[in-house]
Amino acid sequence: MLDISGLSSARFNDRDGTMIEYLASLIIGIILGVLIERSRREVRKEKDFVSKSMSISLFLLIFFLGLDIGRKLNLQEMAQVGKLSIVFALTTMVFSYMFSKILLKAVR
Amino acid sequence: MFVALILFVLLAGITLGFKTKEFAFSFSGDLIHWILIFFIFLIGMDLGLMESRMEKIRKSWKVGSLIAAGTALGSVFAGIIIYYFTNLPLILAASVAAGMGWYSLTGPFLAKTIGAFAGALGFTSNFLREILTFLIYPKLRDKTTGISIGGATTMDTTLPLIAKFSSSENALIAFIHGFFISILVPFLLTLLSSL
Repeated sequence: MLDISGLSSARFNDRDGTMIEYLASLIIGIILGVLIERSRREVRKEKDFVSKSMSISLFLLIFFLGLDIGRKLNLQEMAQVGKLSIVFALTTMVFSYMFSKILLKAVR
Repeated sequence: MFVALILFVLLAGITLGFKTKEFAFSFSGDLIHWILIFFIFLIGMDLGLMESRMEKIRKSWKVGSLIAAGTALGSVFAGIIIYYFTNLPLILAASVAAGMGWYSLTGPFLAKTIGAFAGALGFTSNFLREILTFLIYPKLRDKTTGISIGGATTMDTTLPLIAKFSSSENALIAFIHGFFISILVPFLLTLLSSL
């Protein structure tokens, strides 16, 4: 039997509450963007600000995400189911891509 | 060059997190959450500043839901294919594949419903799917269809990557895709484990 005691710390329903927060921040962003776009003739400065802020946030997010992945990484567990996990990860990615491509082509 | 920089930052974070896992950086999860909320707000603002935004938002819903259907069908089908080529039980293979990148749900859920091996496999397989999305997505030519490889993570962790390597429109599609997948995964896991 494998020891998966480390998994118990994983939050079971971590997307339930955050989904609403993400959706709310997206909608607030869209509304603010529309209000700015309607109130000004030129929005180049605002677009530059958004673009720069996105780049900074991206690097911060990727670094802290790496930090979080590193903290969760269990090498012993990875070694036990490693090869099979790679097969699962790659196969699901390939078939997801293929099925999505077919569906998009069929509808378009 | 930019991909290399992103991978360097990601690897630096992983190394630091792994070396200091016992005593530091327990705040990283909360920090990610708040930066991500700000990032999604910026995506929204970028869309709001666009001309012909309503048409783009409407189109994004349609494309996002179609890609989500493709992701779900493709993932479960991949589970069935793996079942044919390995000696794993069908329900286990399909359930692990149906996690679609949501490792924090799939691991504990399968450990509880199917067993410890299924839990460990569900956790690591979906964990790897997230990491591999970071490596593979920037290299893909079709950035819209490519959203599917991220599964449920396109709503949060891999969203910044998609936004940076494609467009705001694709970022919205990715968000909608991840939203649908996040609703689908708990239902699929419950359904498959009850068979």
